[in-house]
Amino acid sequence: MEGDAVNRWPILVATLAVDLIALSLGWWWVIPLTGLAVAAAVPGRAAFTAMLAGTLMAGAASLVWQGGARTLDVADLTGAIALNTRGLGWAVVAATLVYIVLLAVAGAWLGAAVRRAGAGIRATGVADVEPVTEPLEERKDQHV
Amino acid sequence: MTMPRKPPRRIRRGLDLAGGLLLAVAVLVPSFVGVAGLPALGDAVNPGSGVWRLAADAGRAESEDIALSGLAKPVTVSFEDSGLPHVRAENDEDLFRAIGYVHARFRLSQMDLTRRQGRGELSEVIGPQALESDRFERDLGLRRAAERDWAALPAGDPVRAMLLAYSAGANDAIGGLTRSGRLPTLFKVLGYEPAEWTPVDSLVVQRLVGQKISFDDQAVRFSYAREALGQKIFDEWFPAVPANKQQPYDKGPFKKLPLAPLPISAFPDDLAATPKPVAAGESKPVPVRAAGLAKSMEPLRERLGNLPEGAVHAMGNSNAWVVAGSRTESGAPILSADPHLPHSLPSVWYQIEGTSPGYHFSGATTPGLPLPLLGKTDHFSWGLTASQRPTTLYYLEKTDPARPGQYYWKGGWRRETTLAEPIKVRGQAAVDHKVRLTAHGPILQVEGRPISVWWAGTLPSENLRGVMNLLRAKGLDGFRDSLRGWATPALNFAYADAKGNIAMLNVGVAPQVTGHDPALPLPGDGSADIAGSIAFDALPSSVNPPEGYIVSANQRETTGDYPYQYSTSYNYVERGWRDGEIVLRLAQDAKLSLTESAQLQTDWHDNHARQLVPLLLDALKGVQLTPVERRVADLLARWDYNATPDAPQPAFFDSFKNRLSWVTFQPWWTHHRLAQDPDQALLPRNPDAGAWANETLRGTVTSWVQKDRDNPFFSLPDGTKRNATDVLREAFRQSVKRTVGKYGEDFAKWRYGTYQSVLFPSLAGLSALDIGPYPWGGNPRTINASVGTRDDAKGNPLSNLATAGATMRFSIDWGTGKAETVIAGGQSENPMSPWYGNGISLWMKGRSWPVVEGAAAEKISTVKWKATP
Repeated sequence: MEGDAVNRWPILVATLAVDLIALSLGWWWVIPLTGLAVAAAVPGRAAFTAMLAGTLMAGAASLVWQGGARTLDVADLTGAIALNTRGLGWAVVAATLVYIVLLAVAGAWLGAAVRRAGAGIRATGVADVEPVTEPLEERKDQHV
Repeated sequence: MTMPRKPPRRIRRGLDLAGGLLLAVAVLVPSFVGVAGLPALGDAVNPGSGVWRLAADAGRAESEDIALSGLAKPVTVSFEDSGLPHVRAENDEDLFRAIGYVHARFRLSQMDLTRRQGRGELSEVIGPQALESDRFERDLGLRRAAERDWAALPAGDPVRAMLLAYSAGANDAIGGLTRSGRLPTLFKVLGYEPAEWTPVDSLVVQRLVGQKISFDDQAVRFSYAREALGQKIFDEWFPAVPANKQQPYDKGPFKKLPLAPLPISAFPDDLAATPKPVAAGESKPVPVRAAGLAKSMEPLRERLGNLPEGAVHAMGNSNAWVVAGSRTESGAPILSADPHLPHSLPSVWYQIEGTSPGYHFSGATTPGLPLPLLGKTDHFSWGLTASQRPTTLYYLEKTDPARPGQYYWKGGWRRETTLAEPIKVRGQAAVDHKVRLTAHGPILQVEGRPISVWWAGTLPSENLRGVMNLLRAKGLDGFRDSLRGWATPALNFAYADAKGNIAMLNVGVAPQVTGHDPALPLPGDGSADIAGSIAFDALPSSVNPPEGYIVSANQRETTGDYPYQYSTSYNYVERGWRDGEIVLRLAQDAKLSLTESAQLQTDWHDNHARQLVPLLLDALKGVQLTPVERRVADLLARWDYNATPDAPQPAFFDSFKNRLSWVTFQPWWTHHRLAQDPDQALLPRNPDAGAWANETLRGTVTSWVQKDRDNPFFSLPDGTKRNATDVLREAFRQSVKRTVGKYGEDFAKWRYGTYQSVLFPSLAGLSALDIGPYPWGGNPRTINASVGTRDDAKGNPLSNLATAGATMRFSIDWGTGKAETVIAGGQSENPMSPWYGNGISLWMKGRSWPVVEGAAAEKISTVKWKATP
């Protein structure tokens, strides 16, 4: 299948590197852009999964790099201020990572949708004419 | 069977794109701008610049090289292990610049929240729950007063230069923290960046500190009692001089000097000065004490009752004593001072040593202000206590529905001054707010009859100049002269110097109102305008008295023959108890050492119990008691009146002190239909509860028990005869029953520390960041005061949860040169810093940090910042 033919590692490493650098600078908005770029350029579940894994790894590494041994302490303090409850550091860490992944997913969906729309236009030559068959990735990427 | 037809491809593509866009918007909008009161998530939680960045500041401070713009010469800041900083500058302005920098590095959240509270801008970052506070502060006008005073400082004025340097230093820290993504957690979670610090902010903070220890509502509260009881009974219950034994430090003879000028308006500028009449009016003054007066003030009581803790002064503040060399082991003066305020994390105080060509001091600063408010120089030391005489006057304005926006004053109808002040509110549209001013000041009660307030805290102030001059003084004369321009809050300055002098000086304006009692609401028609202030040289003072010691513990400073309107008994919250206990020790023949003076600050002996329990035991002689009553009496006979956590007796006395007032006065206030005030704080809610009236009445009844045992108020309104002995016995029986009912008959379960505790609350109001509660001792009447300032969910006071008391302790012996201090709330506001709340453990053990200065401080410092231009 088309998506499976993609080599995941370059995508994972590239996403990891770009997001890691961006997060170290506080440029969180690069994450959805990375997701958008990957999904727009490379169709398929494998690419999508690799991009998500790279984003998650970048987020986690970034947390550990910034917080070091005090990561959970910072999370606990944040939880205390935001929720007025101690002991929820783990939840703050989890919520941060989920949020970072969500940024990537939002970018990826938009990127994939743009790509599919573009592919439809290219396949028919006329945007408002029904294609005879659906592109393969349309069926594979429905989970997005 | 036909398969359902797929939607057209074009529609599916559109839906696909729309879904992507929708998710992107749903994720990115809260990421960029925040929604529903949340901060912008992108900035708040991303690892590069969000909260995670704070781990860099989580440990102890590290040595750094710092670039401080505007420095003339390099500055060093050395930190001891405890976080006490020593700032060394080669230029006076550099010193204040560095102090601004240090304050902002360790207390930026506190500084920002404090200025926002004072300016009435909390809602902008916290939300609508802060609106009441903001409206109140806008009305009161701290920001307007600060802006006025700043505009009045000419170029080249040393106060102006100091404030500018301090602000520049603070802004260097703000800029650095912002650029490096290391703003304190509070900013990240609330999702905003602090604005630049300005000199006006410092002046606002100065006034907010004054508000917390001088803006009070006793006049309004006690007008309920005055109205119900009538003047004669009111004066017997609430005499001008508290009825129990007092320890005034100025016993006369007194000077009667002409009054010093004092504006009749809290804003003596073009806002409200001498408003022109818009129409002729009746000249007949309106009687103030008309029936239903108290009822007409209910909206104001409710408004003040709903303000955040600390906005209205509500507790006695502080101990300070000075002892002459004739009474000390070292042969030179000793000074001890411990200001009592609500505990907080971080502390209201930040200890610092400052050295420059013009200054050398070690003392407690308040973040936001560049100068120490108490401490020492090379020549003298000083401490502070609040003088509780009234500086908040309430005026009942006369208005007419037919003349909206006007009030009657001095024979004519005047137009109110109005100021539109929209208040930004987080998560919603800005709220319009209109400040209304009369000739006296802002109108605080807008519903029903308008009530305006004259509060000395918004008068033009020379306080900062005073402290600058004070720090340069070489001795008592210079010290005293530097305080001549002090406006407010009214304070007692305790003084001890290297030359052997001791003194206590009362400072601040003392408004005089001809023909009216300023401790009650006043008519606003011009008949009760301020006539002037007690002149500085006629204010209470004591210098090198023959007894060799001077004590101020918020008691009335003068005797009853002081020839001015000064105060009344209900202005003093803890009258005569703490000072009585301090004097008891200082008057002994044994010479005082620094260690003993510092230990006296942690004393829990209850002077009220010391006076009352022997009289109670006398009253019980020959009385048939139940077995448990006999055991309680025996327990009391063994008590040394020390309210330690291990002592069982306070469990009984906690109830007894209130029952004695209840048994004596409750039949009478019921008889006179004395109504509770709207926030239910005037009268006790039950026989064992405290209340504002009780605080005075326990002094009154103690005096009657001691000296007037057949006072008619011991008898009942129905004519049933009772005397002091009867009332003591009745209160005893009720208290035994109540205490046994609550704690059982096993005295081991009466241990005070099982239900008396101390808590250090987070300044942000987040219980998750509180420290404590810990078992504790004392009460509001002990030298080591334990004051409950919180209510439970039903509004009942949590009097056994001490959330206020000695926020810091300072002692110095000019003979040995040794000094020590401790700030309970610690030096840092960062909950992950080892300096967060780092004074609590020492404070609870009654220990302190040694005050080390100069080269000795350099030696023991473990962290050094080098600041260069």
